[in-house]
Amino acid sequence: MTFQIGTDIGGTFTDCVIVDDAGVVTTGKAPTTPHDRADGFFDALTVAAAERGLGLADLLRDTSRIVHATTTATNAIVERKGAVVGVLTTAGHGEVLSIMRGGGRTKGLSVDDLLYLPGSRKPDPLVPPRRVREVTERVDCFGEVVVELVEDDVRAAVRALVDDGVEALAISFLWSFLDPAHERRARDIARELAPDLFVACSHEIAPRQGEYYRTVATVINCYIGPLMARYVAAIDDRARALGLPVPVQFAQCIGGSATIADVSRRPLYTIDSGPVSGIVASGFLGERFSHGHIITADMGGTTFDVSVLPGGVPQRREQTVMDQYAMHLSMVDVQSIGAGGGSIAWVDERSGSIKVGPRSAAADPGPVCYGRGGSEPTVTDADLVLGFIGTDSFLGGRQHLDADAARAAVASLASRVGLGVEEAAAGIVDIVDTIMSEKIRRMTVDRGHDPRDFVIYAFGGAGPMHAVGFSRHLGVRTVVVPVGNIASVLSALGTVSGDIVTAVDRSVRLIAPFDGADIERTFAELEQEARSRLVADGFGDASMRSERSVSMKYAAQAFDVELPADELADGDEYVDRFVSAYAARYGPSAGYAPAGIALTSLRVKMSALLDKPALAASSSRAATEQRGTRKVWWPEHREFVDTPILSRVGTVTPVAGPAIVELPDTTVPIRPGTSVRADAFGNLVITLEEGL
Amino acid sequence: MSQGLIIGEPTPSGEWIWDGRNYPYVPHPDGLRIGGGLRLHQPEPVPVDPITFEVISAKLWNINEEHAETIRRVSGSPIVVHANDFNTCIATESGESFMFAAYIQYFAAAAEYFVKYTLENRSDSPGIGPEDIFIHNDPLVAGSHQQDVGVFGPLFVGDEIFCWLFSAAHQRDVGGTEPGSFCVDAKDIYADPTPITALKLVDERGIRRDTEDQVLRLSRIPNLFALELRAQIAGIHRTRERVRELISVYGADTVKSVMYKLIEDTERAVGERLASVPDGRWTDVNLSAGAFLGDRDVHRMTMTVEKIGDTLVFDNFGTDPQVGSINCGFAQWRAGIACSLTQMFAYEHRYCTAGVLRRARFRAELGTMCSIDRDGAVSTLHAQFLSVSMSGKLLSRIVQPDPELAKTAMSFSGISTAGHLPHYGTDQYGNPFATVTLDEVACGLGAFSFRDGIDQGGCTFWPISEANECEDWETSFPVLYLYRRSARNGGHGRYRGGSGLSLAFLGHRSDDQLWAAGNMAGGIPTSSGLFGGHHGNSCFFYSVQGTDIRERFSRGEMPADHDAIAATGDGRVLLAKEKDLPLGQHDVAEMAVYGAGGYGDPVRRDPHLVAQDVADQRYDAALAAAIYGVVVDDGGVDVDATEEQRAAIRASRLRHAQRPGQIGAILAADAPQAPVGDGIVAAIHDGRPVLACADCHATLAPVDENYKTSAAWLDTQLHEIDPTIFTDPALDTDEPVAYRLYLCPRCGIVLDSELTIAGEPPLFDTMLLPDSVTAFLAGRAAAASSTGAP
Repeated sequence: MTFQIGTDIGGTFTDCVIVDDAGVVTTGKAPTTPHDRADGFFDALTVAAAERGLGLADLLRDTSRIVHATTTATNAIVERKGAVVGVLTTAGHGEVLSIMRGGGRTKGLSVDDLLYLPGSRKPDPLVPPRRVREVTERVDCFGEVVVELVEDDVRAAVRALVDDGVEALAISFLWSFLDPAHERRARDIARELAPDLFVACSHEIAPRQGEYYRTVATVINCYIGPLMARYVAAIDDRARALGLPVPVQFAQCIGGSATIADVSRRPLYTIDSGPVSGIVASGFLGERFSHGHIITADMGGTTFDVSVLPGGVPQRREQTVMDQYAMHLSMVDVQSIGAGGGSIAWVDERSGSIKVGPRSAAADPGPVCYGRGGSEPTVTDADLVLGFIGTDSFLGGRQHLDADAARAAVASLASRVGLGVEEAAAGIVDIVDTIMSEKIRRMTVDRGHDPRDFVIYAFGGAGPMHAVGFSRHLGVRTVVVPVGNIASVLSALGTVSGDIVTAVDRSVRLIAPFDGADIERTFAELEQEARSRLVADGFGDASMRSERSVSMKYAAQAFDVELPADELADGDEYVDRFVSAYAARYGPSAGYAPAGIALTSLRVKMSALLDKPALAASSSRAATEQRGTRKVWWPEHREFVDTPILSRVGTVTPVAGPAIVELPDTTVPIRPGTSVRADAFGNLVITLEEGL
Repeated sequence: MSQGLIIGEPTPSGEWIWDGRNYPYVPHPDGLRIGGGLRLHQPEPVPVDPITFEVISAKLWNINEEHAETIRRVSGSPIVVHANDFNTCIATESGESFMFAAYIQYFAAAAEYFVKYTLENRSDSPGIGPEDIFIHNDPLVAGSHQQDVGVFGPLFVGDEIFCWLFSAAHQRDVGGTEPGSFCVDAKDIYADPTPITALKLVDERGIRRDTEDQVLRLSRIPNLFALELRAQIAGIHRTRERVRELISVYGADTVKSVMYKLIEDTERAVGERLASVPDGRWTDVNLSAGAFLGDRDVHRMTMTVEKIGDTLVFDNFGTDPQVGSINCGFAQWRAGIACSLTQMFAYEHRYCTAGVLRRARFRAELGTMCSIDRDGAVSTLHAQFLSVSMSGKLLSRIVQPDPELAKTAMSFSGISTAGHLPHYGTDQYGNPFATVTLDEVACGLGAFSFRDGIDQGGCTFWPISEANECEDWETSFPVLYLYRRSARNGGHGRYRGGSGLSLAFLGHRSDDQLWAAGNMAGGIPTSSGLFGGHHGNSCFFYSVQGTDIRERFSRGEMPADHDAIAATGDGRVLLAKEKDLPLGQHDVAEMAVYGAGGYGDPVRRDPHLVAQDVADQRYDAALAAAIYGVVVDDGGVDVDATEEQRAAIRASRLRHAQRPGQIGAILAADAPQAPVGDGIVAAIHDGRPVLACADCHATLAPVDENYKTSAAWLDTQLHEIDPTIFTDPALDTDEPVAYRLYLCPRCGIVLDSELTIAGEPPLFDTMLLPDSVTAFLAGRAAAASSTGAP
């Protein structure tokens, strides 16, 4: 028996999933250990191993693949605990990081935060100005050298920075992605002078136009570089010492995983690898279960993460914002808003209305019902007041909830707006459901998708609880709570459902009509580069899959559209593909062909294909099991109704709501007007009625 | 032809002439006059429970955001996409603009007049139908400048107009004498871009060919203009669908009641905030020069606000006549003021403009810089920005007595004047182009009442904006950036103003390129400080032609700051307005713009912050000692020497004062008091409300008299205070401009300052109503005793 293991370190818990050869899934959870997250990692493995009656060493000895999603990089940035970084820029552009394009004060903030001027400020600098050095060199927008690199400038700058205690060096020159020679030479000089320095060049980390976004990506890569190199080595060493026969792999935000070598070079790509792994898992499950178009909705304690997978394929975006710093980063498009079980409900005295969030009680003190000192009612408290959650069934009974305290908190809010306690609780739920549905709408409708064509995968601690609510706002007909009780550890499963992936891209400036052969040559070069990278990382024997894509736009436009380009050959096919995709997204009259059509970048995502876990389908016809009843206040009925509590959902006959499904780590209210059944893989499939 | 008429009031003979054709448009106070049998959806509000209210308002916000996102995605303009020089709006059936995205805010109040004008003037002919979309940029009605093109249409429910959906976006060229449409030599609207006045752009058949042809005919780059218009049209179409969906779920009356309530809630909150501070009258005057090519006159814009209870009345009396193309229309003057009102009083209401406007009235003299008559030109936009900044300054004075409201007080901020750098010619691909760099959005944010302003913090009226990347601009236009840096031009003060941006570029890969300075005179900066904080420098443009930079490049030299660039050829500081300056491959354009004003007397700044400023190379140790009175020694503060230096500065000010002032009695230690400035309090003395120095407690004057007449005056020059930031105003004007400090005659702290003309009497900037001050202080004392506070 061999095992594949996926792990995901979250803010509160570290999750682990083991899948064996037969497709049997075992899960384990342990508290995250912020002092050294490696401890939590091995704790979760130990818990999961014990579920199978194994010791940790026994498990690891028989493990064929282990993948790790980590927030170490993100935490280092948020807590400002990264390396001492020095930066080399083109002369005249050394203030790019502090100018922040003039938008840093409000970048990435919620609208209510950014509209209050006295509260707004720029983030603390990642690199103080004295550690940014300008060197003489210049390339222009055609990639032609205007001023040669003055190597003595580089030497002097590197020496000064090293003397100043710099541990990592970011090299980011203008237009380096068109001609990287100057960055490469500067890197070589730095390595000659300081062989132990962590060095990253912007043309490798983020080869895209836009010097601020590219520089931020390179600087953040350096900021977390030394730390991540130590972390991945420590995890791997410890696992190997316990008998693990293969190297640990690390999940990436572009989807799939990377080797230790790759992650040590480009740790930037581990940012958000946890949430992205959840998306990857959804794509994997969606393909397995033939669910077609999928929206993933991951609702936790503080945030709601959404991703859209047309045809089950995760979409990408090319930029992200961390702590108000915007950067180029190619990643699976998962977007977050501050809405979760811990979101606080409050009365806006000026309108007399109830608002939910963006403040959150988070894990500490947590909702009122946790009894840890929280006093303001949260979404979880509202769920409890309505009876969606039972007092003794939360987290499989490991966390007792104080229903009286929750009720008192909601009652206090209700009395201020003249509502009954349950009405107010239902209102809190409806408001948070609306906020979440609007986020989903923006991510679908804005991109030319009709949410009614999609299945929603609901996961995370609170996702299944609210999925029907926000799905109704969107007209979605089917909600899937994936694979029953592992819904809450989906990200961990996702880490082992991807392949080893590397991506390369190149900025170009081609104007239609395009030369198909020329594009083909460029793609071939990119594929060669990607393939050699995977071969160098030890995957020469694996079969590989290349996915090509291009970015195109009307020549006069600023934004481009990313299009898959695998089967395109002739130059005109690129034009046709763009015109039709554009019209589908923005309407038939939005395009304006006389402006010309431009192709701005080519991209190859190369995967070394690995064996995926084969999830076991059950052929037995399970029956529904009811454990009792509970009074639940259903907004549809506006009163308490005796409601069956189900510990298992049958595969044959759908159970009509109202009902509550309580699995060890997941509670799912089956609301009136909906029905649920389990499929052969254990997924709960909720069908919404039409017309709501 | 100002004729002394007051816009918004009937003429002396009782006529209402504000029609938008011969005179500025103002809706008739008795209601809109709508013809053609057109009906508006105006139900009696229905009760909406707090949950439904929140759900619908969240959806409306997102619908409007989606409108904005559609425009950004379809648009090709880096000005729209990156700088976000646009906005979207939902307005009620009668045009009250209650929901605006977080982009340029001064389109909000303008949207109202666009819609109202259209209702009053297009309902009969050509009629207003459910599929119609109009285009409009006429400053006599509401346009800011002609480049900002409004596109808007109604949404019908049945045969009634339910609401209006609106966007305005900056177009790169809409005609006029200059490519890019900033017409630096225009002296009237006939040399400015030709306005478009509420033309029907789309009807039930789609885009109207006749209108589109006419509109595109105005532009030098019609294809790009066409694409931009499609972005705005696509936005309206998308938004109509979404609002219809919302109505289908919740019902028209419920959705409308939510709209009404959003406005009413804002109105009430603003009213309560206004009512919480003393009543009075506040005035600001701003000087500027360089209204057109060769202009050396100084132009005054005056703004006064009177606050009684929960209502504000603004006027522009005393403003100079319209001049050049630096003006704005009445509607945009009002819209600029609305920006400050929303930012300071309605931040919790997402800047709901319609709500704040209900608590404000506006009276303006016709034919002035900030209320043009039919002939006035507006394309360079200076007065629009001043409307925002000056109103912000007035409101910052009003809120002083309330500690929470006072946090929103700021000195002049962000883009406070015209500072445009248009360039045009043939690009590196051989195509004609015309554009304006919008790097200036990375401007300094003004000093707050409790902390420093923010370098490159952006504009108050433009919450989300971003300058283009240099690489984006170099791809689009034939330039090579030599540098882009913080300008170090924020105003000195107890709290420093944020610095703006400086940049220089060299023409590159095109020999056919020219540029223009669309600036105001740099020696007379508009970025005013507050309560003794100095001005920031708003404008500095510099040109070097025929440089040897290319030879330096080949020698491995890169001039990358102002001094190095100045050494590459014969450079010169530009006058406010210049045009057709060469920008070939050996020519450089340089600008440094929008340093924000400081707040409070610099000698009251925390000395350790001064030492940090010196360490950060914001200014040197000599300026630290001269301006801040801080002796920085070996990186640290020499405390004793600093104390001596500060005392010496105060004494020196009083010694050199042209008028010594009159020292008043000292306040009793337990006198009830509240701040009305950074160095001034209102207090009860001998049973009467007076103003007094916050530092030494010497009384200055009764609250309803101008304390400056008894203060000491010191006339000086900004460029003498800090020659690293300011230039001599004599470069720009022959008038004797002076920077006057008003000092406490006893202790020598700066109470306030003015950029003025030597010999002019002091501005009576704050006149408080005595009864109101007395009641306010009594109320505070009562509240303090009831809470047990000292």
